[in-house]
Amino acid sequence: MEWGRTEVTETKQKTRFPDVPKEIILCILLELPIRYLLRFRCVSKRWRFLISVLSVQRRHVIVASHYYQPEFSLHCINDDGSIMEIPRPKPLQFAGCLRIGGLCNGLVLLNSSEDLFMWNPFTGYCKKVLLIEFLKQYSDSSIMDVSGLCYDSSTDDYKVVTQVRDGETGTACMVGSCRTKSWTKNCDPYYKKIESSTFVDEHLHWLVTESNIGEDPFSLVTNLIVCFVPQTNKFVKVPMPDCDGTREHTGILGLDKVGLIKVGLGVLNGCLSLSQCISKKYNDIEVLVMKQYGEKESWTRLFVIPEITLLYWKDKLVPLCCIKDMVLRFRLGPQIQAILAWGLNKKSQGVFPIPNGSRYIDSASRKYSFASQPLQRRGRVHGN
Amino acid sequence: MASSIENNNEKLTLKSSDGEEFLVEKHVALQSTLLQNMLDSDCSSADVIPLPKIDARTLALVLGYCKKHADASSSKQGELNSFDSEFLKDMDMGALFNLVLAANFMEIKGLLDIAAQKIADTIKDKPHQEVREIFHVENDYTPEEEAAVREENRWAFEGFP
Repeated sequence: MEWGRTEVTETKQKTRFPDVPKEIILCILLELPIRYLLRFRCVSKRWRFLISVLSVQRRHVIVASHYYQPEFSLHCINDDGSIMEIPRPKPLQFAGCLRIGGLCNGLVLLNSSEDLFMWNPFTGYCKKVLLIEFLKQYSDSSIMDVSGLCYDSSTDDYKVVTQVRDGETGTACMVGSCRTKSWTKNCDPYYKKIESSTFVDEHLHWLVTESNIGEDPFSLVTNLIVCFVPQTNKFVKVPMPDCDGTREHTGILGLDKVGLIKVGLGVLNGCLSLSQCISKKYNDIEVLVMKQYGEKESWTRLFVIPEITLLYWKDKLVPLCCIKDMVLRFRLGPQIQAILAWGLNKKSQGVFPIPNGSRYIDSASRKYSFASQPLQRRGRVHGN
Repeated sequence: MASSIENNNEKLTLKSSDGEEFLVEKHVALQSTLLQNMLDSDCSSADVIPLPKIDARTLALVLGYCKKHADASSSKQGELNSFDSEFLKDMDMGALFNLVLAANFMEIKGLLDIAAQKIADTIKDKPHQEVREIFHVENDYTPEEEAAVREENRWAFEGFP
C-alpha cells in the first residue's frame, strides 16, 4: 500500500476532539501572532499562564541603547539576525534622561529622573509604577542606580531593586513593590555595586565583588554571583562553577579564591550563563551555563572563544542570546561597544553594528511579552 | 500491502492502535526520533512495534509524510514545502488533532510544526469561547475576572464577541 492522503477513509471524526497535552497547546499557541494570543488569555486561567510562559519562548532580543533621551532607542534582533528598531514609548512627561532600569518578562522598567515607568515595547502600553520621591520618605538616601526588575509569582508583583546611598559612605538596597507602591530597605552583605541584573528562574542576578575584599581598587573585578529572591526580599549567593586548580588565576587580586575573572553574566536558552577569562592573558573566554538552576554541578562549559582581546580590564562580555547557531555576546568597555556574534558551527565571529553609536548600551534577552502590567489600573499613561 | 516496496533496506513493522500493521523502510522510520531511538537501543529486535496511541488512519498519514521527507531529504526544499501545505489542505480539525498527537508521540518535529501551524491558523479567527470548546477547556474565570482580562487587552478584541 502506498502511504498518502488517498488512504484517508471517510470515518467522520465526530465533534469531540482528542484532549491535547500542555506542550502541544504551547506548540500551537507559539504559531499565533500576538493579537490572537492576547485574546486567548480569556480562555482560562491556565491558558493565561501558558501564554505568559510563551513570552519566554519567543526568541526576540531587545537591545536597548540607553541614557539620555535623544539617543534613547530600542532594537530587537530577529531570528534571521536582522536588527529592527522598536518604536519608542510615546512621549510621556519624561524629564531629562531616560534609562533602562531592568527587563523582566519582556517588560521594560524605564527610569526617568523622578519616576519609574513600566513599558511593554510590543504593545506600547506604558505606565508609571513607582515614584522615586516616595523613596525619600524612608531614608534620606539618594538613588545611585536602579539595578533591576523582577517578578514575584507568589504575589503577582513586580519588584524594583535600587541601590541608594546610606549615610556618609555606605550603600544600601531599597526594594520597591509595584503592587503596594511601597519601598523596603534592605541591607545586603555581599554587593559592592549592583548593576545590569539578569532575571532567570524568578531570581535577579548580579556579578559582584565579595565584600570582604573590601576597599580593593579593582572593585569591578567581580567574582561572585548573588541573586535577589523576590519572594523573601533576601539576597543569596548562587553556587559558582568549580575552578580548575591548574587554571587558577592569581593575578590581579593576588588571592587564590578569586579564581577566574568573570566578565559577564547573562541568559542563554533560559539558563543562567557566565563568561570568564581562562587564560593568563585574559584572551580566552569560556562561556558556561547552569543547566539546573541552583545546582553547582550543573555548570557546563558551552564553548570557548579563543583570542578575544579585552582591551581594558573593565570590559564585559555578556552572553546575550542564541539565534540559530549563533551566540550573541554584548561587549562593553569605555572604548568599545559592539555585539559580537559567535558562530557555534563555524567557530568564527562577526560584529553586529549597534545603531546610533550611543554612549552606553544595555541589553536583555527578552522577547515578546504577554505579561500584564502590575495592577492599580488607574493612571494609564497613554492609550494605544 | 507494503511489499510493493522493493529494495534491500531493512524494514520494520508498526502496528496501529486498531491493529493494522504497516511495513516501513528503515530510512523512512528514522524520520521519527522515537523510532530512531528504539532502533539505536536495539529494541527493534521485536517483530512488531506497537503504537497504541495512533490509529491506522493517522498512522498512514504520518508515514506518508515521513516517506516523502525521507526520500526527498536531499532534494529541493521548495518541493517539500508545497508537499507540506498540500498534505494538510482540507484536513478536518479532528484529523489534525490526531496528527499533532501522533507527531508529538513519535517525535517528528517537522510534522508537529506544520500541524500546529495549521491548527493555529484554523483557530486564530475563532472567538475565544469556541476555542474553549475545541480544547475542552473549562472556563474558571468568574464573569468579573474574565471581563477584567478582556479589558486589559481590549484592542485585541476589536471585531470579536
